[in-house]
Amino acid sequence: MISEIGFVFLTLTLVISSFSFAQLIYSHLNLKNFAFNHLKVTNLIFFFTLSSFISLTYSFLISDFSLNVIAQNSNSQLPTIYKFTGVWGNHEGSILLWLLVMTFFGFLFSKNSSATEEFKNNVLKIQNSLCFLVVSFVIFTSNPFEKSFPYPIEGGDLNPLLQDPGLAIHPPFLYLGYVGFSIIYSISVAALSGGVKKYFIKILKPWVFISWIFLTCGIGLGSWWAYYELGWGGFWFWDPVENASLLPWLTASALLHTIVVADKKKIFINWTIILSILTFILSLLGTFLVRSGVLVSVHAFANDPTRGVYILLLLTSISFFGIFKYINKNIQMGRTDISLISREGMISLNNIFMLSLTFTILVGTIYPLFASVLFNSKISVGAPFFNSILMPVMFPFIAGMIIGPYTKWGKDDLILLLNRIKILILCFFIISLLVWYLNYKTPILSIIFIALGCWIIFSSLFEIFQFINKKLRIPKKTFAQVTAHIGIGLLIIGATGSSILKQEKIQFQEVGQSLKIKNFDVEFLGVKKIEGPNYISQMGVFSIKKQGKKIKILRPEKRFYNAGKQVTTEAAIHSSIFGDLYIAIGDVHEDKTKWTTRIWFNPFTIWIWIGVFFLATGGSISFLNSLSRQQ
Amino acid sequence: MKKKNKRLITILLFMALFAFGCAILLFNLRENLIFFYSPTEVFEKQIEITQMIRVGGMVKDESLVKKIKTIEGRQLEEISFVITDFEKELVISYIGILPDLFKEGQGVVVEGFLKNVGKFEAKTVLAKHDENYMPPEIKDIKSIKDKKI
Repeated sequence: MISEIGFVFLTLTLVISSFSFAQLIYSHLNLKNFAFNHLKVTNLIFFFTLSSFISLTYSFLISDFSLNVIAQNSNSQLPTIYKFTGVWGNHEGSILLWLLVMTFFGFLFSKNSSATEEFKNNVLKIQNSLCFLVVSFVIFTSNPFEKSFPYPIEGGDLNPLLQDPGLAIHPPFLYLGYVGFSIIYSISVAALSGGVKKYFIKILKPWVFISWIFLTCGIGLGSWWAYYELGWGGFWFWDPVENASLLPWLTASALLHTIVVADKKKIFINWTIILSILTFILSLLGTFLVRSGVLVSVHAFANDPTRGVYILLLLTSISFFGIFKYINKNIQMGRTDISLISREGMISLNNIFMLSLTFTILVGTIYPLFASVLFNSKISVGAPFFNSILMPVMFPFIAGMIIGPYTKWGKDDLILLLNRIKILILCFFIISLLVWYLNYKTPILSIIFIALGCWIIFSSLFEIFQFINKKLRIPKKTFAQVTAHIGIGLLIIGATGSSILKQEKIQFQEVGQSLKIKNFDVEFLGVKKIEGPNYISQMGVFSIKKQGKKIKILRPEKRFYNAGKQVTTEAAIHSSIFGDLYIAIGDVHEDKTKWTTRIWFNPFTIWIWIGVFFLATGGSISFLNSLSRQQ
Repeated sequence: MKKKNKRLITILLFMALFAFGCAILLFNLRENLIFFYSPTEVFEKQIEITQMIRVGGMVKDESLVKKIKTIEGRQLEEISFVITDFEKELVISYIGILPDLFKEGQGVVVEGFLKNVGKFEAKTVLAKHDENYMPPEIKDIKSIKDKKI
């Protein structure tokens, strides 16, 4: 009964959002325009989608197996939390969540923007039309309220890999980021038509920050989940699905920098709009790549190709509309010559690097698709490609990141600039020598990158120090930039440690046998059988000693899920600021005394997660700052 | 006129840089491509033993064998199994922990090097997240498609 109501609400969303869509089309046919209040539509479709989502959630919680998605992806023995997160643990539900987030952003915009009513109406016209396209996708290709015949008594299982708190929150965050870019697209495209009384960059700014924060957290959570749940000992594999989320993140990061200039100097407005549209297009492309299954990915789930065609249509029509509006723009753009050695110049350099990276990763990700269509050859692009491109680009990028914040707006002089940061350059030498002294045995590349990471952190701290030294109040903007840049520095250190410096041991380990890795002794104490709520687990027990002192017991597991008859690996990790000791357990040998164990030492991995936290914090400070300045 | 010239030079410079970047990109791409072959193709084509490739097909039923091997004083488990496209078969050997969803009778993709005729040393057994997921590459192998229908 509840599920039928859910479907009715979804249909209402379709009907009501179609009004906005119809008016959008109508207004472009040069016919006499009729006045229409899109704000009301926005409110209605948000509440209808929310009600629809709640009824689906309720159906999941009571295990209503008359619905196809629930019968296939949930069962009555599932712990309540996973019944709840199971709502988006499948294609249909996750697309409904996508729609919910999209209508939610429209709703938030209608309530909290300082824009004029007329501009709001124009923005929401586009946003509602986007919602219309998505809701028709939900209803016609992936209806979560589809009935199952015959009605099963017990459901299948939620994919065991998804039965994990990390994955419970990863998709909503990722979607809040991905879909947040829809409102950025709507604002930018609406601004192209003109009629903006207030400076639209100010209206756009907070939305850029908030979406970027969510996307950053979403990607961070996803790679954290992959790190501890998959038992592969890594956090990033340059897999197409991972790359797909990185593409909009890179352009959004470029946008983040550009919009600061656009706000302050009233230049780069053109470019801001292009980046906004591009970011949303890349978000859609990401969704297409993930949901259509056209690419070979280790993170792929079974899927239906017809959906891919629909998303592709969506992608092309939204891109075309954006480009069409851009060509026929009716807005004044400022144009000035900028010098390279200036804040504006450095930020344009940042953009060039960010976009080169985006282009490179895009080519590497979709090249296999072209190759299979054009040459009928089946290929994939390996991680070495991405690393070989990323590494050389990092050097000028980091240099710009360090110099950039010290340059002045307008025009600056290179000699004066170097003079200003001469103490900093001296410190860089000391840091580099120190890093080299501490790690002289390790590969040269790792020393370079760790030193560079330290440079970024140190130069950011030095910025703050300068303010304190002059007894000046630190501007919120600077504080946000410093926090985020420290995050990047930490990320570089963490990524270097857990890739280049990684140590791995794989072997048969007998019960009682002790192995040495780094400065840890890992003793295998045996395997226990544990019964979980819906699985049986074989839990290895390892005693970890450091310099003869016992510090921790680690318990990696191999879980067998009853309902779906599937096995998952749960790695056990001992984290410290110097590195993670990471253990995964494999199969038992026939004689029952030996087990395959895989032990890693991943240096500095924890700094990756701390780095992501710093990035998000920096973004949040900017977000709050831009909100308070909007009024 | 002067301003126009300046702009022209800037644009040309950017285009040159872009072309240079693309050249590096494509060169790198070609170096790092990993080709996918079906077991039949592995036998038909001349594949260098130094070239990393991917091979995919169905894991033959009851072909999974585990042996103990000692390397550098450590005991290791060497896993071997047979990949088939219902025409040709290829023996895969692998040292490591198999992915959770690895099963006999299901599709699998492995990455590694060809040792000699009919033998393949896998460096990675590609995992998947979903039991029902079949990599598009395997789906497209003709002999497997025929068998499924």
